[in-house]
Amino acid sequence: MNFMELLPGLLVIFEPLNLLYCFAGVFIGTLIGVLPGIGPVGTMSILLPTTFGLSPVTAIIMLAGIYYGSMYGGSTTSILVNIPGEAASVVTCLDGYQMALKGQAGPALGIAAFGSFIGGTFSILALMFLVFPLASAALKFGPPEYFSLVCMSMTILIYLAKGSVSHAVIMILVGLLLSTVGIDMISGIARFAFGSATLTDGIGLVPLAMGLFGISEVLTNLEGPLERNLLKTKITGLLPSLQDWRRSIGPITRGSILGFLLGILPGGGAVISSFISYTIEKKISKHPEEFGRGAIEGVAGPETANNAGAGGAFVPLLALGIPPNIVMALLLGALMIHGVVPGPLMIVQRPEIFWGTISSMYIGNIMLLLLNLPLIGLWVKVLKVPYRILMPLILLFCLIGAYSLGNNIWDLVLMIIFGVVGYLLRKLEYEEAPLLLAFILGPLIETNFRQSLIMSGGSFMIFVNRPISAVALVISAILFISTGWSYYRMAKGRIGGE
Amino acid sequence: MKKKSLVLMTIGVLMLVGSLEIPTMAQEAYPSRAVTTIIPWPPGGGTDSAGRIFAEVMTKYLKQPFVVLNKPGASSTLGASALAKSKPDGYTLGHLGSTATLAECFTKYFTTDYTSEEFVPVAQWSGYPPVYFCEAGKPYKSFKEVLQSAKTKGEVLFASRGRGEATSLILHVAMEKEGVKNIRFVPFKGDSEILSAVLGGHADFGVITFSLAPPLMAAGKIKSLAIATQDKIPAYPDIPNMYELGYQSGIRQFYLGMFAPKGTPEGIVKILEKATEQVTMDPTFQSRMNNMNQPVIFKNSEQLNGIVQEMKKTYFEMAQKGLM
Repeated sequence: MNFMELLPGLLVIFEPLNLLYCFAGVFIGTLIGVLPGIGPVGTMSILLPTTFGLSPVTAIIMLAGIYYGSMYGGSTTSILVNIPGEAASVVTCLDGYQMALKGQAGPALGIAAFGSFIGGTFSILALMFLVFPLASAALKFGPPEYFSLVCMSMTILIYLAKGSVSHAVIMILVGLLLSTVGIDMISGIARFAFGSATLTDGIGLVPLAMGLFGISEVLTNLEGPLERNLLKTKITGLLPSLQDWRRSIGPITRGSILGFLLGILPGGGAVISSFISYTIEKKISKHPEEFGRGAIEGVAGPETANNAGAGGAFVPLLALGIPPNIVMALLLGALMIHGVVPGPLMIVQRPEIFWGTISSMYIGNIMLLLLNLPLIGLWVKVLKVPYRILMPLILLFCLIGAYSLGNNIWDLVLMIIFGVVGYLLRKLEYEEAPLLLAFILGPLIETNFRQSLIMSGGSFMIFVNRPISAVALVISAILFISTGWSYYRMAKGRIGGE
Repeated sequence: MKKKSLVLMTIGVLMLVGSLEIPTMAQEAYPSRAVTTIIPWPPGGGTDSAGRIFAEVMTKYLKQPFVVLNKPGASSTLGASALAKSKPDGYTLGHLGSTATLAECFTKYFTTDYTSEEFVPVAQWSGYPPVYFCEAGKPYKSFKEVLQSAKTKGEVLFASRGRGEATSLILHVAMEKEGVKNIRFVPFKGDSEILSAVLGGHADFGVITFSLAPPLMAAGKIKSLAIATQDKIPAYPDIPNMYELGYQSGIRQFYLGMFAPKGTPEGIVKILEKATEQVTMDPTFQSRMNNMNQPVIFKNSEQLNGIVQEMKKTYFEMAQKGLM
């Protein structure tokens, strides 16, 4: 890496125009992150033509700002109204919303903002120094390695449960089943589509998530609004206290590293990192019983991890020109329209773009922090809006969000169906989060498993012969046995005590 | 107070939206209002970007806004179905590729409620030639050597775009001609996954849209072996295409063209055909497409129809052979 080129690149961001577009990007990003359903992909592609007149570096600064800005905003609705703004904020609902119910929405939003800032900044630093070695390391992950990694993730999904373990297992299985709907990637044949063109495409993540979380929340509240302490007790502080910080610093540190590393891998990196972070924190916590009931660690860890993951996603794009997810594909397209081709040669040919993008992310993260902290006061006030106004608005935003995705009316129908299902599940004390995460992991585990077996001609040895895969499988086995053992002991203890 | 102004604002917005939709009664010169162009892919891909550039330049020639509407899903057949069902008045058009127009050949895979007969081809304005490629360190010097190696040295792994996909069919044609059997097709979702698999050594060779290849070729990461169709890339005359190598698959070109619903007045189709030709000759359009390594190819309505019909015949033959 040539550090002499770094300085002029870093100075690119201080041009007033670039600063302005950077701010515009992160501001728009925050807004769309807050609105459930409306994601960075749609927004970026709508705004793409407006960047044609800009210089390529200004264009990418703004578009990148929208992306990582949306990662900041995603936690807001999770915490306030229990609707994940983005897939990566699903686990934030678990403890963030509980904190809000206890009157701690301010600290929850605050720690999410600070965690995002720290995670984001960490990932930019790592991106700057390690982009090339990391990119080649990421290529070592073929189908067998992915399979084993996802396997490992599956074994810890169970830790997400705050209530009954058997209920969580059932939800995981339902999530896996739902994920099989649609065209099977390997044989190309539609499964469980019943002749419907919409189902041929599979069930969308957004209708499912917004139905299970958002619509069912509205339905639950129709019975009689939940008591929110916020209305009664005085809000003691909008920002995390020293005590909150002490509890969060560990999760934030671990979340930064974990999020960045998993973010590099294509497909769902940010989502996986957010819930792995949650489960790690729950596992090593001295008071795991608080998780799911408003533990600040459960907000700090995942929110840090998903932002660190956003930085990690730039690695394969900047170093190899391979976009690991659809947002990065959009950035690739935007750069190409301007005649800049991301790839191994970009750092040599257009260093000002390479370093300019990275430096803009530092400034953008600071802007986001400054933008989000004052907003916390405003968001907390949202909770004071009476339910009869807030709930229809939530419903409306969910409907708009689900429709904006593919301009398809059936997405709305699906969302409402899942809303009713989610409501019934709540009544029966089944939790939505394991279902949703299993739904995200399902296609990954299935496709990579089958790809691996095609590669090996049917031999299962391919999972053991390859070192990365073997290590991940051993870890899964240990986790699986240790979880089983601890639940066995717990059950035995309960019987013994009676 | 606040509530009142919100209500007023909502009414205002609704009225504004409503006024836009009022159809013009009199027979006016086409187009007299905004034209919607359906893109059956999600926002962000190469085709989507190209479609947006096209819409922007088209606006310049026909003096009315061309609005892009993404209707992704079911391998681009959902958007095509919406186009087939829209009013044939020239105000709803679509940019479609071969899978969307010829979905009836893939009945095993999709359930569609339209056939290729329900579209009028307006004009082709681009294409996306796919290229077979391998990692630069592989011993293969040419496409034929890959087939040879599969014949003599055993199993070769091919990172494919999926069963029944045109590039898999074309490879089958070549394998059949050379009597090669042991190439194992590992399906991947999308070009970036294929690239990662081939660069990471998880597959021996693969296929991607050519527009992704040049930067990786320049950096010495990949070797382009052969263009899957009959296209030639002017900047890279050394890369042979499958027709030159002697594998006449019947799939000459992956077209990207403008289609209108059946019943669209001929006069309107003519206006659009002419405007599309102007767009493809526009220097801004050409340079932006060139930047994205996306070819600019103009074929008129009749020529495009010819390509569609030939491809349809090929697909049906392949389906009979059980390749799809």
